[in-house]
Amino acid sequence: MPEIRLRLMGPLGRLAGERETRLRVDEGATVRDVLTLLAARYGPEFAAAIFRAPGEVHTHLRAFLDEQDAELGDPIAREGRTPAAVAVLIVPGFEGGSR
Amino acid sequence: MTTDQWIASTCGLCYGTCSIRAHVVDDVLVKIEGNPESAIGRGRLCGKGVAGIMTLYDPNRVNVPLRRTNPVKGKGVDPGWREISWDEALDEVTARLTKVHDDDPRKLFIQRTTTNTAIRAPMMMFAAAFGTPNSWAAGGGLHCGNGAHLIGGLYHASWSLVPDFKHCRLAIYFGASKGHGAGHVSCTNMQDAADARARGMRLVVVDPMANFASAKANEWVPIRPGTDAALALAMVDVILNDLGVWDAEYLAQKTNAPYLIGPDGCYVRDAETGKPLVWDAARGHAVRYDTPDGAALALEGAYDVAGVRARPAFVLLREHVRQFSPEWAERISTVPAATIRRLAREFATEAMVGSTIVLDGKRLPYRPVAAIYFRGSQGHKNSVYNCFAIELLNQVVGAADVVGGALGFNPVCYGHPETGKPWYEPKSGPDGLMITGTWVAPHLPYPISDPKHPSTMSLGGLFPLGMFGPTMASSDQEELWTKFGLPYRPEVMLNYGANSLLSVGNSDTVAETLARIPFIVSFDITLTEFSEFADLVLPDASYLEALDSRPNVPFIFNHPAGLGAWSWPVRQPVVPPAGQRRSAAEVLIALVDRLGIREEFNAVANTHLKLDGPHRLEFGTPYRHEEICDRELKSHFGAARGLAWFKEHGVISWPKRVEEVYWRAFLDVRVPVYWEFLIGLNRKAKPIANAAGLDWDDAWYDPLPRWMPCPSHEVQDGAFDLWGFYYRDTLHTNSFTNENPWLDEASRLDPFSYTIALNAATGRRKGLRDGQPVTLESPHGRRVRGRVHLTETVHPECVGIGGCAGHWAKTLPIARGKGVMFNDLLEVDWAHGSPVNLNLDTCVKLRIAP
Repeated sequence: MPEIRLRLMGPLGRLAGERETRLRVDEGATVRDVLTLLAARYGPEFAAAIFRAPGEVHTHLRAFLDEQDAELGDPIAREGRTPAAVAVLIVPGFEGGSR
Repeated sequence: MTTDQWIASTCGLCYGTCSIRAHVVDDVLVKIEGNPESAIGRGRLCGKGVAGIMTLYDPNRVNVPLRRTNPVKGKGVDPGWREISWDEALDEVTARLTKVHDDDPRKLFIQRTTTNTAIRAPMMMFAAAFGTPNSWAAGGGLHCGNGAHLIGGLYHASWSLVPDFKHCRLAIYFGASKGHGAGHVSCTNMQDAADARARGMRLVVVDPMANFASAKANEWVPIRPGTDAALALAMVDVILNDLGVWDAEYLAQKTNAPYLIGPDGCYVRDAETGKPLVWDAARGHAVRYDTPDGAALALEGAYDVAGVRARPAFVLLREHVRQFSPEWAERISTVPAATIRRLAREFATEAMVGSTIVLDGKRLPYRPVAAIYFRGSQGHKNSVYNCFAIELLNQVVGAADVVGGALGFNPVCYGHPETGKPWYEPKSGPDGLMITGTWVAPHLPYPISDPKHPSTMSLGGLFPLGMFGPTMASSDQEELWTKFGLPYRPEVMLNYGANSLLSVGNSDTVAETLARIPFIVSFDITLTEFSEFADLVLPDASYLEALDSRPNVPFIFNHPAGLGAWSWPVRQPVVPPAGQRRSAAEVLIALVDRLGIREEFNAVANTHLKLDGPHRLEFGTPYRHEEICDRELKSHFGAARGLAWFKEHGVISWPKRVEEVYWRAFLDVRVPVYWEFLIGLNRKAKPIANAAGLDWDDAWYDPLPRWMPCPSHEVQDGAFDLWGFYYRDTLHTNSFTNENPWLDEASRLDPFSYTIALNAATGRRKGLRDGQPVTLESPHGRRVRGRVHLTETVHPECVGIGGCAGHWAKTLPIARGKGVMFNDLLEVDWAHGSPVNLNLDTCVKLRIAP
């Protein structure tokens, strides 16, 4: 079970009570899985900052794998590869739009 | 040796941000013109833009950092400014912010102006990196957009809308001045509107005052303030129920009109997927809304589905509007019933439902009518239903983002031909309803978040339809924060250029809220009434001395609609900053490093600015503002077109495509004519509000619009027999330009700028003479003084005032004592805010006396 380094940026760090942590995840776990684990670990206020409604992530939440933009379905730790460092951030007032 | 050059840049005297050329001789700016190379203005420039030279060279500019020595704060209180060094100033700001950041970042309150949009991205990125959700635009949204921009986003994936000037045949403006006033792409819109009128487009303006748009329209329809929904709903009733006109294909394919509604008002959903069901007349049974080949979706009838009797949402809409007869609407709005019927008939007829047109080889729907709403209809407690009701006019005849209709600007962009960037388009979201492709407010219009116990100063979490809330500066903010158990209070305010004393509501209330904030830092170019509450003033570079790679907040906020060109300009210094002035964007980046939030800031910048490939910021590396601008431009337009290229050329342009402008026909997205989501929102929000002791009225959460009275409509005391409202004077932008001597001179020559417009017959009946000093008083005892101007161009029940003049600061010698501060008549509290989107009501009952 790989361990990842996790950076909780901006208000998420305050809500979690820590800005950096480590987390063990299943092989093939996705960004969404990590967010779900975090919501369970840090409680309802943190979960509300992540999820717009049950199972639906806020549109203004961004996750990064090794500083690169990540989609919710992206795997973060795959066999034979070094697990990515994950950073999670809320970006209100964003201008979206990308292929 | 004389140097003589023209430098391409961008105006900053309103959020229209027209492209300009600055003539500089021997490092002195001598003239400003419009830049014909850019679609944003197309070489035209308004009086404000030309007068920018006087703002640059204002002898009262702040040139050095200033520290307050007088601990007492109040209106008219001299702060006792002491000049300090930048190092001293930044040390103090860093110390204050570090304490707050370590304690609770939410204690930082960020305030910015809507006048200069250049700071929007840096301030929002700073706020996100710092970790505070408490940010607002000092009255922006409360007055001008919590409703209009929400509806624009829900229906057009756009911040705002205009008629398709090139093809529209009949435009009805409800409290809007697109093409006739200041604001979004004003100079381009002015030419487009004039060309449309010359071509034959009819313009009808519904407004309490015949000013900028009405005076040039075919018809002015005077209306009592805040009653636009009554008029629009009666028009919809006539169109649907008397005339029997609607665009069935559009409604079935592009809206939720065919969605089946059960007895509980909610969608009847597919048991397996939870998706809303529609009735397929061809198949003879209910299917999911997204079933392929669903071309025969019923808009009428009643059906037994999933054990309940269900009807299409369109049936409910038609039934709902039957109660809003023209006679009913006349009693509320004062618009004669015969006029309402005629306008409805003209709108329905000119819509030419079923017609098509070929553009660029593509056959497209042709609906040459548009109902346009903005500040006038939206500046009320009932802004959501006002704008919703008006938008239904476009929706029922299918005149939304099709040729000739109401166009959002600009929800679809497929990018520069060489890079395909910037790229965005709306997509289908929960229940098939549209999600905007890009946006500029704190959250998207849709999908709507579940309401939650509020934890921000604006109480926004409980009101997910709103952008900003009055509790940022309301008389009852402490009471409301206590009710909801807000676990912190603002300790530091970072202000950019806003003068919230004038821009929010009555200045006494705002002053009380500011005086409670222990430390206020303000970036300013001159000292204003707001400065009287600041602890530190930092001398900002003006828009003619600063750099910005995205001055138009591309392209959703401020870019021409319709076919033509895309243009991405930059802003660059045309002269170097004088004195110790610094660009606020550069100062914020310096603070980022001092505060140790560089990783956060760079991560936000990568996302917010869409930095791409080798142009992304490494999280741990420091970058200057200029480097970030360069990387943003290269991310969009390729490595060869960075900041150096843009400094030389000023702007890049390329042609728009039919698929971008008339996107509705090409994209499979729906919009809601029935707001089923309000039912769930109400169910979840109400218990939270009630638990905190907040009154709640379910009527604001009906899925179909109705006219809801503003507080001014409920005043019983007959002595208050006038409705007061303010309008945006084209000569000015917010309170910012009153100090410009050229614009002041123009205002003194203008009979309206600095006066109180009162209907002449009403004035004579009251024994008032033109030019006579008068006092206006609200039921709450708020008073303003000014000179009355008797005119035929204002509704007999109303007084209209150009906002926001009436400065009193000694540091503004040109502006001081000129005009009337209308906002001083406005209450800022829960009772005057919308319980659905937090809009502030900006009409007020008044009495007038010599």
